[in-house]
Amino acid sequence: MSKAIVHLLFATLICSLCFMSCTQDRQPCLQPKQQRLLAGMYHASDSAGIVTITSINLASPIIGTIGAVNNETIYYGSISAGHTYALYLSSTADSCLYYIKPDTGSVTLFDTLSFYYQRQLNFLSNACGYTYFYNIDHVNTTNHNIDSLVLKNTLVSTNVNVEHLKIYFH
Amino acid sequence: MLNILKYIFTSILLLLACQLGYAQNAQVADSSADEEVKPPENYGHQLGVYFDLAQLAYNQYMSYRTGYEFGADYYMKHDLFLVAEGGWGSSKVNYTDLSYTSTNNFFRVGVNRSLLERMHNKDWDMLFIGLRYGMAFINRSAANYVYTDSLWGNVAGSVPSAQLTAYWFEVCAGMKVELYRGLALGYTIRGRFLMNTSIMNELAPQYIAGYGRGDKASVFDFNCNLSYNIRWKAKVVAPPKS
Repeated sequence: MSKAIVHLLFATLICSLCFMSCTQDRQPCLQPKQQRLLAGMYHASDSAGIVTITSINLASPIIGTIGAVNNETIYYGSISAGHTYALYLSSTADSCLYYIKPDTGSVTLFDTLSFYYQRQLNFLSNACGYTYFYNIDHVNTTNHNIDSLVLKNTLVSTNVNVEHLKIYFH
Repeated sequence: MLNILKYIFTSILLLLACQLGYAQNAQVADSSADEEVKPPENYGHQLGVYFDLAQLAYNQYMSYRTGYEFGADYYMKHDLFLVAEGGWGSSKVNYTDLSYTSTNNFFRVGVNRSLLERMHNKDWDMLFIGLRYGMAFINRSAANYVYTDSLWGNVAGSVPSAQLTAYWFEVCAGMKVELYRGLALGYTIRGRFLMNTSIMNELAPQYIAGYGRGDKASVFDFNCNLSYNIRWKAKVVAPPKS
């Protein structure tokens, strides 16, 4: 075997060792670790569900959690972004509670949404660790502003394009 | 599964192409056989044992894993080598949200085929391609995890330990050069394709010695083998008396 091939052998070895020294111990996580429930908001009179949120008088809706660690309130000041909202279900219990106010001016009249579900522990990857999927059993609501709910998809998982819940307002 | 079949098909095609090239060379040799009769193959026997030096480098640079590999190859006939390899290793995952350890041992069996024509009877340098079938027996410890949820609160838990078996096939190519009286150095580049990818549905080991990353269905690897080769003569069979 020629000397050139022997040199090639060792050059490849050195290049490979350089490559290995640059390899990361942990790969970056490239997918959401928290799964979200997508809720669409519609006018009750519109069965096709194609009206925008401006037509149902939610000028500046407020959606918030009840009983969460931070009792966080999620403000949606701008409605031009669309009419689908992301809600995160509790991973510490099999139910959780949200409230919806039609706008910031409405202090007393708001509706609650109660989610009941089963949690499923799922392994995503070594980079991302574990996550929870949710199988929704049912959703209850009050009816001050909300007319009805339709549960379209019961599984909340890594599929980010699925609308799970349709909320129809009066 | 489709990917695995695709790779198997490609590997078979590659091997057939190499075989075709070999056959064509043989035909050329045959055509000139009228003028010169080639003596029967009599290269003797060779048994090589080798140790993978690259693993030592990996162990140094990759703190999350250790691995050791060794093997043996035996020359059969027609540039074919029977290969058996084995080893052991471990891995450790110690992140804030996930921690566990795993240990495993493994074996691989297969063949190598030399593609270089020998320059003389004692020339054992080779450029080769090969196929392997590998199995690993894995012990994974219980895993502790933390699910981070700033809204509703974090959840910590534990997943029970498990014993897993992984099996895969691999295609490889490499070279081996004799440095001094039976002492040889060579490298092998390997493409590995996990056949039971279902083990990745659960918590897959970060590293499986003999295979590579446990959460990948296909991986590439590199070995640098230091080998010692023992040779002995073949028994010479006297030609039948006419």
